[in-house]
Amino acid sequence: MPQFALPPQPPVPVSARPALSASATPLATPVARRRAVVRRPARMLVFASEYKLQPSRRVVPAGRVIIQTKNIGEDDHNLAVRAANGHVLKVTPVIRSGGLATLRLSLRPGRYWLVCTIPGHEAHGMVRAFIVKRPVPKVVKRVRKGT
Amino acid sequence: MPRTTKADLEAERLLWRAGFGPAPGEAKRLGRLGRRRAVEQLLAPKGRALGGRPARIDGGPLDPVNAYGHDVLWWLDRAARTRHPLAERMTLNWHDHFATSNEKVGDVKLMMRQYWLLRNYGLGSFRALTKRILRDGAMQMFLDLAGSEKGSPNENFARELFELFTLGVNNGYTERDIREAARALTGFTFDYDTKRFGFDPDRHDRGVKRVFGKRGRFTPEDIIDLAINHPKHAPYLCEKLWHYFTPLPVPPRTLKQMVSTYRRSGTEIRPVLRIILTHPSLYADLTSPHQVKPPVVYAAGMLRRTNTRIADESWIHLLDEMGQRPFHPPNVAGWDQDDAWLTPATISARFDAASMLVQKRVKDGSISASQSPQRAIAAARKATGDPQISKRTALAMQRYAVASVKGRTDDWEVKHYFPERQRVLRHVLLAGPDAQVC
Ligand SMILES: [Cu+2]
Repeated sequence: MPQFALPPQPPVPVSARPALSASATPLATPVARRRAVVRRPARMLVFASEYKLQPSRRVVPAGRVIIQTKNIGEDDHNLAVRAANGHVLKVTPVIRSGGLATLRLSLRPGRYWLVCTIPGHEAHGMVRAFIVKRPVPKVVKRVRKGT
Repeated sequence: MPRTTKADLEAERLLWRAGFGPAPGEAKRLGRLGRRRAVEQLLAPKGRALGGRPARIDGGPLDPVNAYGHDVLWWLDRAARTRHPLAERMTLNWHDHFATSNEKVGDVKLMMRQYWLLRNYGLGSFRALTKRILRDGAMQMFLDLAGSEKGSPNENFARELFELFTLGVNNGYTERDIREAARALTGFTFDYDTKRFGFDPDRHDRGVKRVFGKRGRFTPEDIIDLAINHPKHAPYLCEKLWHYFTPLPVPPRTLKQMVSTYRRSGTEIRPVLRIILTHPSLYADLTSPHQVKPPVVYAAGMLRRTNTRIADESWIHLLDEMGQRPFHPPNVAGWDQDDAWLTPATISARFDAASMLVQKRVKDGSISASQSPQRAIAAARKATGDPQISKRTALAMQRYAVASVKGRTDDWEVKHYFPERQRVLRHVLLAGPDAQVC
């Protein structure tokens, strides 16, 4: 098959790209490659029941995190992420018995709280702390040329 | 196509009943050993436990502890890649026997620890296995053993220990035996903050209890011994083990033989399995199989036969629809086996799983009009591990292989209908009536 060199193209804003058209394909590849380098979001799984929260981990690396909450109790619950200053960063809708809800957020290092904000539940014990830590930087050895 | 011998058929049967079905070529290899040596190889597996490529979701490995549903994929992945089929299959059987669900435990790490307990000790002594289960964190939470204390003992574990784990429903014990055993089983503790399990002698009822007519200051381990030494235990367990491998009734003489072997060996599981797996009943009706494959066996079997790795999360949903999610049995009694697996809804999910597999493998435009009906059938057989099929199925496939592409000569028709024929043929081999049983 003959190889055609693509002329250099100016970056096209996403909104201007025609969806699913052939002309969008040459641009899509380098974008996908670049994304693969980005660290995948950290994951946490929380089980909620009467009246406790069971998170799958206590320490999460800073950056994007996906928190899934499964209600294994009989009553309704929800899950909020609260910062140390008391500010609620995100909260799921009410999760019915057996239901699953997902929160996506980006967190800086520090101490946070998982809470069920349904009245009375936090006081009954539905609150747990977790810590966000700066990810340990990978030691990259520099390859020096010519030495 | 290589001729199929009786030895091949026996090996194929053995690998489905005592494992997760053959990977391509596996039945032939095992068949060459003969029945006895094949069973010995399954009973004492050597070498690496897993082959093939591990599951990968969204460009990363499974994260069973932190990502919802990955626990189910993790189990399926191990079943699909196992090189120790019987050890892995017994883990699933013991999971059914000592059924524990994360729907109550809420901690995948604890569930996985229980998996390893069953996997590592599932072929050894039943007494030792049950004593480990007694101390297992997931079980202690599931049946409320942790936190059960003197003065207000929880009876859940004592009841299931007799009713499901060792004796059978109403088989040689009374309500009073359960109450007294529950007293002996007090003292276990769990702290949610530190996640530590323990035993607090001050919360243990040290008084005299009366169980099965015997009196003593029984400890939790004593209760396990009393249940396993009960005369009704050995027949109950041996018959239950038998039925994990065949729906046919156990001949009374064989049951006697299993029971005496089990007792003489000191509750060893391996010698009982040896009797079951070499018994003629297991190889009855080789060409008209009669056991319904459990969903995990069916799904893992498909992945093995087609050499496919798990690459997306849809298996979580599919297994749920088929009626068997490992780590999530429906109740303490485990899953209803055999014919109960098949309902209109579960069958439809079984079809969907096969559709997903063939759709990904055979794309439109990938097969030319020169492919003859015979070549199409041969290709489909090869791609699905060359399974046993009935004469009826073979005939139907032949008719279909001719009729489905007849008169399809336009370019667009060839592009679609020749691959479609291949997809349908593979689907029949993966999910047709023959593929549901073993
Ligand atoms: Cu709540």
